[in-house]
Amino acid sequence: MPSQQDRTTERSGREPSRDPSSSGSGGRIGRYQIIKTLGEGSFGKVKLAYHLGTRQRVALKIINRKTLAKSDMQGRIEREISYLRLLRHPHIIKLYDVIKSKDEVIMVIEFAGKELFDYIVQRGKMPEDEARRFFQQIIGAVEYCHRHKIVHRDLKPENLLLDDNLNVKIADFGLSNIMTDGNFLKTSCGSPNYAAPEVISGKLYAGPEVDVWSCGVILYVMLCGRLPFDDEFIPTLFKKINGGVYSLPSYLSPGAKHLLQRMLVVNPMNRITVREIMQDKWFKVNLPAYLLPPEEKNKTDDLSEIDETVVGALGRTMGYDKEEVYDALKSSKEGGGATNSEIRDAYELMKENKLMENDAGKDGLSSSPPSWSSEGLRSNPGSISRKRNEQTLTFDNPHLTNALNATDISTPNTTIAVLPSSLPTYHKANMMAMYPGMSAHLEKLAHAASSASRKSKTRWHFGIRSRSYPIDVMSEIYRALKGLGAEWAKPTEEDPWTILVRWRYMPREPLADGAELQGEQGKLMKMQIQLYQLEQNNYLVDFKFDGWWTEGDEHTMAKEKQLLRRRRSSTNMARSSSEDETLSTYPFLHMATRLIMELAVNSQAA
Amino acid sequence: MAESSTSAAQSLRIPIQDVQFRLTDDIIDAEQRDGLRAIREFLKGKTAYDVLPVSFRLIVLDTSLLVRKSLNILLQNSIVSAPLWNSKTSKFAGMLTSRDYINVIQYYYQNPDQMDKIDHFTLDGLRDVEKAIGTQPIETVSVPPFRSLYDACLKMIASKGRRIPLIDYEEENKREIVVSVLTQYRILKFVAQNCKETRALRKPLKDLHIGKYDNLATATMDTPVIEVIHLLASRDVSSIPIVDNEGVLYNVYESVDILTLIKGGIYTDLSLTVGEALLRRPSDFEGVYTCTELDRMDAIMDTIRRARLHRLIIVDSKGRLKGVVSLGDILRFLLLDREEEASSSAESTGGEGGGGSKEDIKHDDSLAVDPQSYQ
Repeated sequence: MPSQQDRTTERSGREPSRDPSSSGSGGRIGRYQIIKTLGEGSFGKVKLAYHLGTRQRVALKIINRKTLAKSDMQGRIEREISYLRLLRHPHIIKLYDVIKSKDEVIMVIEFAGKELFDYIVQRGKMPEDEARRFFQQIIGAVEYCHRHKIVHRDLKPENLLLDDNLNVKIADFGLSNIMTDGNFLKTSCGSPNYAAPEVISGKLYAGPEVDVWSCGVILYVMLCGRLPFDDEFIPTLFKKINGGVYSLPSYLSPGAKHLLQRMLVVNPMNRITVREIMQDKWFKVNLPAYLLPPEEKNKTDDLSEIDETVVGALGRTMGYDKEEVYDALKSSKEGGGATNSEIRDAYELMKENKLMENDAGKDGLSSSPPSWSSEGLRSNPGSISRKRNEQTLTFDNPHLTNALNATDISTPNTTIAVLPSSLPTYHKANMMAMYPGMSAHLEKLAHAASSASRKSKTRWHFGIRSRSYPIDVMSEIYRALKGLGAEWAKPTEEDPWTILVRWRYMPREPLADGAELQGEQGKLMKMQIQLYQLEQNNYLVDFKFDGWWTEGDEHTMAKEKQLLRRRRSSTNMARSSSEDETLSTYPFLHMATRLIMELAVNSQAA
Repeated sequence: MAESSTSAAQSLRIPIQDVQFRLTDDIIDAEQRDGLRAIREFLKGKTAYDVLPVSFRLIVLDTSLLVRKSLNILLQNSIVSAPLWNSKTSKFAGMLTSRDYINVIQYYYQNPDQMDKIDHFTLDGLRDVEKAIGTQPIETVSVPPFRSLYDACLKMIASKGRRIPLIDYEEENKREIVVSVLTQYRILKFVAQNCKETRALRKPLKDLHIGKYDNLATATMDTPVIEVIHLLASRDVSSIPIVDNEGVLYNVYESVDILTLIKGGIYTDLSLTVGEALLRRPSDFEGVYTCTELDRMDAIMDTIRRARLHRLIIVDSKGRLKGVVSLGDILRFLLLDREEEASSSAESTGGEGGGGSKEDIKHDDSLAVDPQSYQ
């Protein structure tokens, strides 16, 4: 963490005093001179700028911190952004740098001047070979990100850019992860034509399958020159998307048709995966080798293989301590906390970057802004290309399978699916469309449901948890018992953590003279109080109802302690035979509540 | 077709297409028989107790609680059923399910002037409600937790119930203890998770003769919800499919939806249409599962393993309603298909169109545990 923070302060120090986002053309942010505002993206303003030293043109994406997910997640968000910096793929807009100030996070990103969709609008539908080239680049980039556990979730025309060599550059990868859900949904509602059914239905889980759907829509648009799902009226559009209703023009080749049909599948579980797309016949025609996933590298199970330089670089870019990185890599794959897996992901990503650089035989990749053009790669097929040609397409990357777990279906060819129109969001849209005049009434009904289902989660605890020393906890309990007028048997040495209590059950405070005791009132209740250790420095006080006191108990109480471990032994027969009476849990709950309250009062007084 | 069968055919060197086909069918048949046998052995080798998570929460309601309050408790805890306890007799007193609320609604509907009384009904009084509206009380069956899972399933099937409480008897002080409740979903999921033999069930629904296809009760979005509730009761099903004029399936009204409908003790929303009533559903409702007659039992079991489903609605390629397969149907198939089918009284319950229902899953939830811990 230290290096990260140092850098942040350094940056802020260099920043001009005025608010960078309000600066028009001519302003400066850090070492970047702003040329003009390019537009307003989903996440804030985007400005064109150039680096004062290198004159390299870049885009500055200015994100207001207010639009970022909950403030208590800030730390995580910064880690996420740092992680995005590690993404390196010829068809993904590179994130060069991140400048942070109090109110904003400014992402310095690769600049690509054109949008793929302007190109389509100008030229109309494309020949299949041309569309396939773009599509391969898009899928290559998506595969790379999924492999590194990043789902785009918002692939749409605005995010598909073209560089001067007509290579696709995908923007905003990973940004949906750091936005609040509300924001994300709002922005995606702007152009839901590309959104997968499960996204518009508001399903909380949106995995890599949503990108496959969007890519399917994009492929359709390139091949047909129009949208597969379109309607001016949003509920109707939702209905079309959720129903998966679209037509395939007859001029499409069977291969293209087949792939589209596998991608635009409403049930995400049955949708083709990115991995399967890469094995598709139509897709593989003229597929450049560099777009294939790299050969499965030996994972970092073995400490001896940990790459020192990568660890060092991780420290510089992500701010992780060396020891932290080693610990994370040493900890088992599944084990460790979120941070450990974060570190492992970042390590894998950097290691792959490094291998790519080594293999490509040029080290300017990471530092110099100019994009790694696919032209260059094709004309210069380094050792990676050859290696990749040899490998079969059936690779099995644990990261990928991890990320794609939800789509991993062992029984193919099923038509089992969730009925889209039964999902609440869609049902509501349906009702609105059916009864346009009654929207206020319907809205009210739906609102009552959503607000009610929110708050209903109750957290359950058994007994009382405590972080105090066990001895202190025990003395607290004794004090409370004494305060309540309960009696207890002297704890044995071998088990000082169990208290056997007897306590007169008097549900109503002072009984009026002459009033008769009813039911269990006035009887002696037996209770077992036991202290358990949950984990280090965390203890649990458990209460157990142990029946009602009878004469026979007089003799057994002292002995009962030893009998605890063989509870069901027949020595208890004397007592149990006399206990055919009724049993209610209420007296016990009543007494336990009183004890808990007494403990609470004591601990506050202490 | 399945790999194994193809390779078997090849090894026999029978090149003729249709011979291969028949052979394949026979193999699938045989494998399914073996698979079912293995699943039954599995169920016989496990106890009902084995299905329970290591740690779970159980909410038992005292029969002296007000009906109105019981509803709030269910909703607050996101459960849809609870075992009842009579503290006067110290005995298990049956299950509280959505069916009881349906009865109360019907009682209210028949006696609108009794509104005040409804607010004072206790759970004890539910049996009187049953009597008043002339419905058959649901038989209270239970099994001891260490009975074999197979027996527990048989008993549940015979009782027409969608869940079966596990009641232990403490010899020591001669008391009943409510241990937990097993639902159809929980059992099926347990089988799907632990029995790889479910993969041998490769026959499609259309060849299995399970589920209900004829004389299905349906509604449209405009149907008053009270009519749908009457249908749930009179047909003794847990769900009513909602279709349009062409018979295309749009949604399903489940008996558990009643809980959110009458939440807060308001029985006035009974004038809503079922389309409106469905807006009341919690926003995290996971959707209705559909399939076609071509879907195979292995795929269904795999879906049960991964997703919370309460029943599968069978549709055709145009999305039109064809039938309903309930979790009860699936359970009966696993236990009784072929061998015991004819002799079992359970077969008489074939009319139930929607076995498990969301109730099971919700209840499943209340056992706050990772089911993975069983594997």
